[in-house]
Amino acid sequence: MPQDKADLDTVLIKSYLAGDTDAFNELVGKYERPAYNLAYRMVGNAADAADLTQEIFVRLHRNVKTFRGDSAFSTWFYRLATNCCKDWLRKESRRPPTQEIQDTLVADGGAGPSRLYEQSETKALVQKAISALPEEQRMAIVLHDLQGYSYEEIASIAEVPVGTVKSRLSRARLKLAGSLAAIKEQNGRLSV
Amino acid sequence: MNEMSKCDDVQELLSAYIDNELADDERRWVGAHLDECTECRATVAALQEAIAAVKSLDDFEVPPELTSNLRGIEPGKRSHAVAPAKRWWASPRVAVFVATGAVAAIALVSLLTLSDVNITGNRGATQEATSPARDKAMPQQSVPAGESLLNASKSEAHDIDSTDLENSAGTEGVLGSGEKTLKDGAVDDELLLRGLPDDKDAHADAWPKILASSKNYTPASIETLAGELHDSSNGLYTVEDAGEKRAAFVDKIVEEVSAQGGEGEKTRSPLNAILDRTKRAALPIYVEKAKFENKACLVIAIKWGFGGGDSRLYKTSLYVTNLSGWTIFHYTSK
Repeated sequence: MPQDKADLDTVLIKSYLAGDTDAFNELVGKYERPAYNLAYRMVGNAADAADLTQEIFVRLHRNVKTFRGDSAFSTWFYRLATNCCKDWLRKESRRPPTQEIQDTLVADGGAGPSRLYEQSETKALVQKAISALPEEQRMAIVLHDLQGYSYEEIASIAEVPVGTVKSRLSRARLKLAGSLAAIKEQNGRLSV
Repeated sequence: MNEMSKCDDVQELLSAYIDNELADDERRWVGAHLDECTECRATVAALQEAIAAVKSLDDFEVPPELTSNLRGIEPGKRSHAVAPAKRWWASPRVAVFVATGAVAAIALVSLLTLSDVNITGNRGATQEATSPARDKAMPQQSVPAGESLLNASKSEAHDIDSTDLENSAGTEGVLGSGEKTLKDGAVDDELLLRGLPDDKDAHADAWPKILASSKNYTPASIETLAGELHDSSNGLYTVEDAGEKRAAFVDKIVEEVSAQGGEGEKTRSPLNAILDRTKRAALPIYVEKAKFENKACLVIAIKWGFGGGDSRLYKTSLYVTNLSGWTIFHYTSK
C-alpha cells in the first residue's frame, strides 16, 4: 500500500469521525471493489458476495472509531473483512454443501446479459477449485495472487507468522495444481 | 536425507521459491535440487500454471445497487438492532440496507404509490378474526372473506396508496393473483398463508401476492410471520419455479400497472435486477404493505436456495423495509 494512500485513509477516517459523512463514502469508494472481490472469491457467488460486502461495511461503520493507526488502514480493514468472511462461512456452512456449486451450474446454464460470473468455463472451474480449498488457504490465495498482498501483509492481516502464510499458500497452490491437472485430464488442455 | 524425503521437503518450499520469498541459502538449496530433479521441476511448472490460472481471473465489477447501498449506510438508522428471541429461525441479520429489500422495496413502493393504480377489492364481506393463538404478539387484524381483489368488481376499487392504514381495518388489497386466495370464512391462519398454494401439489398454480393490510407488526410478530411463511412454503417451490414464477410475477405487476395507465415497464427492470443479483434462484412469495412498530413498511418474503440433490427451494428470507426502501429487519431461515 503506497504511503500517500495510507495517509489519505487516515485523513478520511479522522474527517469522518469529526462528522464528515462524505469521508466515509470516499473510503467506501476506495475499498468496495477489493472487498466485493474478496467476498466473491470467498463465497463463490455474486448474491452472497453482495450481502457479505454490505456486512463488511456495516461492521466497518460500527468499528471504524476503534482504528488507532497501529497498522495501515488497509491491513486493519482487511482483517475486519476477512473476519467477516469467516463468520459468514461458518454460518453458511450449515446449508447443504452442494448449493453453491449447483447455483453456479444453474447460473452458467442460463442465457442473457445479466450473468454476473465468469463467462469462461475455464475461469469458472478455477473459481470452483478455489472454492474447494480450506478457508484459510483460500484466503491466502485470494489475498496474494488476486489482490497482490505480500506475505508480510497477509501475516499481519491474518495475525499469524509469515511462515504460516507460506505454508498456507504452498498447500493451496499444490491442491489447486492437482485440481487443475484433473480438470485438464478430463477436458483437455486448460486455456488460461 | 534420501531423495524421496528431499523432494517432499523441496516441494513445500516451491511455492515460496516461485515468489522469491525464500532466504538465500534455502533458495540455493532448492535451485540445486531442481537442477537434478525432473519431478520437482514438473511440480514447479504445475504450480506456475496454477498461479497463472488464478491470476487470470478478472476482477468483478461491483453491482451498481451495491455501490449505491454502501453509500447509504448511516449508523444512526440502525434503530432495530435488538433481535427478537430465536427459536428454529436463524438469527436475524439486522442491516440498514439489504440489496434485496432495498431495491425491491423501492420498485414496489414506486408501484404501490402510483396514484393512478387502483387496486380493486371486495370491501363488503369482511369478518373479524383474532390473531392466531400460536403467537399472542401477532396483531389482531381484519380479514376479508371475499375473493381475490383482481377478481372483484372494479367498481369497488380503492387506491392502495390512499389507504389509510390507521383507519382501514377490514380492507385488504391483493395484487398479483388471478385466483381466489381466501376461502369463505377465512381465518388469520389463512391470511398468513395467502400467496401460497392451497396444497402442496399445486405449487405450479400459486402466485406470489402483494397485500395491503392494516397489520401493525412487532419484531415478535414479524418473526412469527417469517416462521409461518417458511414452514408453509417448505418444499413447495422448486428452482424451476423461481425462473418461471418470478417472470410471471413481474409480468403480472407490469400488466396491472399498465392496465391502470401507469408505466408498468418501469417496474420490470429494477425487480428483475435485484432478484438476479440477490439470489439467482429467488422467488418472491409474499409482499405486504403494512406497519412495523406503527410505521409504514413493506414485508417481502423470498424463497431461495437449493442443493443436496434436491431442486426445492428451502431457504426463506424475509425483509421488512421502510417506505424509503431501507431494510429494517432481515431474517433468513436456516
